[in-house]
Amino acid sequence: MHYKHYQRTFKGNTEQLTSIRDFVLDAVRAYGGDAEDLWASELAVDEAATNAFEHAYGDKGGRVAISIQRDREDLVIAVTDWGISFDPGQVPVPDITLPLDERREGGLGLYMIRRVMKNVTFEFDRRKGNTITMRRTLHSRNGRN
Amino acid sequence: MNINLNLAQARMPVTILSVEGDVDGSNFKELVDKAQAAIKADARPLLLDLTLVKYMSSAGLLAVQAINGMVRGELRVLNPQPHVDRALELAGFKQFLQIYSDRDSALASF
Repeated sequence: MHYKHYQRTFKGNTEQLTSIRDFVLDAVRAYGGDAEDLWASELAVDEAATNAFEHAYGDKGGRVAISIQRDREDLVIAVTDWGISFDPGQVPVPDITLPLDERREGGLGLYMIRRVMKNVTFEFDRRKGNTITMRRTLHSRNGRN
Repeated sequence: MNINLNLAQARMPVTILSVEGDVDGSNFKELVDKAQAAIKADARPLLLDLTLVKYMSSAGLLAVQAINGMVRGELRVLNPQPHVDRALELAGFKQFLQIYSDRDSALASF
């Protein structure tokens, strides 16, 4: 079965997040996603786009491209920016067993992406941009079968 | 996102900070700023009413964390909706927050 490929580029800053989430929800709904798929996908893309707007582009703003495809029972979602790249290995992993006032800042968005999506990969290319690609098995609790 | 502040009388005066709309990277600072201004004006303890928040990203969670720190634990959270509740759970916030599903119980807990 052939599924439509949803792609759109958003220009600006975090003010675009509502439109980005609406775009994701429309695509995942069209693919037959359930309430958990819809939430997990909008959260993952929101977190990736927020990182791009806040860290890759800083205050200047910039372009974020979203691609959403269905590959058999998986959603395949990619978020690309053309800002400053980063080393995912250097992003702190939050210790969620610590009381809130003892936690260090940083890494919560990426942590949440990894909790709701599977096979989260990064590609950094000067021309093609910085892309985070995430998969999620439809109708699963945590993105995996 | 809209934020409203109201005062309720329980065993002590309690400030209710009611949020309406999604909380994400575009507006979480506004939530922190409004809470900070209220707390500076002696609005403690604080009840954070999330009944009308359908969606919260990690930025919103960081706002909740910041507010909790400002009132040194004198915070109760009211009625997080399913997806906000899932976010709180994923981030390991639920075991460290006092969360209530009805207003009277939340107010009586202070």
